[in-house]
Amino acid sequence: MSPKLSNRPPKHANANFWRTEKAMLWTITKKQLLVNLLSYRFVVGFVLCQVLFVLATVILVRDYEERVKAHGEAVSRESKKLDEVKVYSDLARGMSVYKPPARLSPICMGFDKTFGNQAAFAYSRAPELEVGRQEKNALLVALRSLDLVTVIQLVLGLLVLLFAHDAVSGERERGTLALSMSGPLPRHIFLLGQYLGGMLTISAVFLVGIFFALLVMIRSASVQLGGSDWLRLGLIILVSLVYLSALYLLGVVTSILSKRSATALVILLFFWIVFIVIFPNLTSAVASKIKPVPARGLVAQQTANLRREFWTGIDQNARKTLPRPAHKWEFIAGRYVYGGDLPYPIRLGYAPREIMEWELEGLQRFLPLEIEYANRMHEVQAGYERQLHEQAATARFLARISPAWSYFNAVSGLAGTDAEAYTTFLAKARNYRLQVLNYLSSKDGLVSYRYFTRLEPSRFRTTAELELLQKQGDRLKQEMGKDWDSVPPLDLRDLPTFDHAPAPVATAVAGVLPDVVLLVFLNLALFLAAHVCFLRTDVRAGG
Amino acid sequence: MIEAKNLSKRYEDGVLALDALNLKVEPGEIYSLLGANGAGKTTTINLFLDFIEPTAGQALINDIDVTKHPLEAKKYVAYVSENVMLYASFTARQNLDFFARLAGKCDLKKEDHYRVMREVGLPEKAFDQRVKEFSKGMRQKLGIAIAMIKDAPALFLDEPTSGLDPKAAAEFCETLIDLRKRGKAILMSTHDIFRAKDLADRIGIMKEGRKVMERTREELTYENLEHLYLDYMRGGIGAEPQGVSA
Repeated sequence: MSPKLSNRPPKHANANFWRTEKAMLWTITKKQLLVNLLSYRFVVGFVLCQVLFVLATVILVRDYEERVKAHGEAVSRESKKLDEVKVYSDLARGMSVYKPPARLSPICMGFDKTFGNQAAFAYSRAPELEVGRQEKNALLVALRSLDLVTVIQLVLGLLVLLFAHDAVSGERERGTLALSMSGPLPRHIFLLGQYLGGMLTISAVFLVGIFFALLVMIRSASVQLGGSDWLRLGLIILVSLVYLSALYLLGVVTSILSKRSATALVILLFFWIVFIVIFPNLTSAVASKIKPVPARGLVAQQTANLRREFWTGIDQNARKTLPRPAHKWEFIAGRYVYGGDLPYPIRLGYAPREIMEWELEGLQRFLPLEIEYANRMHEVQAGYERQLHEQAATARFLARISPAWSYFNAVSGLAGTDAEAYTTFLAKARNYRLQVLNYLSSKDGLVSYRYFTRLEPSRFRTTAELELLQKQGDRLKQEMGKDWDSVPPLDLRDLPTFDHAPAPVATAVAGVLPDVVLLVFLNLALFLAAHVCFLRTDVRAGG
Repeated sequence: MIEAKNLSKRYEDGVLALDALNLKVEPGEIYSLLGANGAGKTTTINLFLDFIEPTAGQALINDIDVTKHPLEAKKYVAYVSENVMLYASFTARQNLDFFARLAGKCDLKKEDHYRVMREVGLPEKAFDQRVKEFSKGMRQKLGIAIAMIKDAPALFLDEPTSGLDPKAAAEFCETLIDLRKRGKAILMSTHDIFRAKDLADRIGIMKEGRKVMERTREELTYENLEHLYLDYMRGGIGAEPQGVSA
């Protein structure tokens, strides 16, 4: 007979308690990791994910290189245009600023390509949201591109569910759960071990994939990641793990509640299709119903009406109150205007004093009016954009029901490819337009002769004076000067420069905090649910 | 070591699976529960393993109430099911090591694993073979090896020889006899009257959740167990009062 044992735990038992639980936890974790690593689904999933990670990165890095090149060319074109500015109207009539491609767009493309990278503006036009010709609100859903985040969201998400669906039900079906639980193994330790083992497996697939993707990225000369980019990347990896963990826990809860692994798998596949694939479109549709926006054509019509009203107005006004003075065409050179009869000049190389004064009067009357109309058109457009944003915000709020879209919101925010990044760029461009207009005012280059001519008013001559010069042979030609090609460009070195840097990491983190908190909370809630369900579950095979 | 005191279990659907069972298994003793399907044999074992909670009564292991202190009680328990199912992709040794570690045996060496597998009669070549290639007999042997390596004083065996060929069953019984010699208290449920008679020190016949008869090995020298069993199953003999033992 074996010696009688006490029914009270020995004194040293409590001291050994944590050590024993830790040892058990590590045993379960190691076992689950090994079970997963030895499975076919791991081999297939691992290979598939690595191929997709590398393929997606290669494609998107190439795309990024092309976009960086196109951006460089556009910026240099714009700079060249500035070198050819002869009068201030050249500047006022049209400028463009460009948003550089987000350096982490090969990781998460988000909205980086949805709106283009250019914001064009003029004194008469504020930069507008480039929503394209489509009626659909482009802010609603980022077009799916095969980037790393899509691979994580869809493919790795599916793999996680495949690993998690039998984390408990599979053990129960095999009978290994009953055998494990027949010993002094606390249920929470088993559950935690299964979770950690599963997450280590998923993390291995994910981190190896990210490693290969980064290798591909840093081999490209165009991708130059700075310190803040690495920090963002670290946060993206962390958020990705939180997302994958939420999915794994969802799988575990389903696995606990399902009597059979096959049932759990069917439920989880249904979840994957509905919440990860279909859901964003569904939320867009719901948001469109809750927060409808007027048809884009209607807005375009309103702005077109305002434009027409302005031009009709100034045409009638000019005809009635500003008839062109009598003149001789041979005394006018290098004249570019909006309409032949309108005193609304763009460039004027040379003209008699009467014409110069007539053009200036028109300019003084019409240019402020056009700016006013531009502001009115912008108000119409801004109102429309506000509605688009409200609709998109509603859709994003609803989409948070799906962890996949909370994850997308968080990662695109960290990568600087969310819709917010574009609207920030647009706001900066709008602000820059005002800076340029202020600059023009400060140079007396907006409603003055300097707007359209390089001729100093002291050199203006009347038609009568010019007729006299005409009689003196070459004197008129000398007086009228050179053509525009030979006029030197304006010195614009003090023109404010446009600088669009991505939002600082702290701002990006603050922006994505609600989504990250939601994912963390989901993890905690699911782990708690798994724990509660597992405490009540029957561990016997067929139980 | 193993004791049931008025142990009862009524399931949520109202079925009384176990009705005031009393039994005691001392160290170095094999107690065999005989009975038809649904008699309450497996329910009894499940109650001792804390897989289900009793409606009334107590299941005690080493005087520890399983319901009140399940983890403490299960430190003294090893279990072999009717159909030992292990991690198919693991080798026999990996399975053995895993379950031994769960029982707190973390410092065992490869030689210790091999020794136990030899003791239960597993062929050497199977030690590092994946379990998915094992026959049912080999799995049962590995199951008993797992129970042995835990070195637990109380063993619960649920139909352990079910589906085994006669040779494998005989080998299995030899192992049980060896475990009895080592002072283990063994509670075994079985359908096999002859195996029970050969092995058990005491036999309890279960019918419809009640222990209707209990006999010691000595008592059975003068009685025919098969006839007794069949009579009880046919309902020809009234149930003995509970708690009666030889």
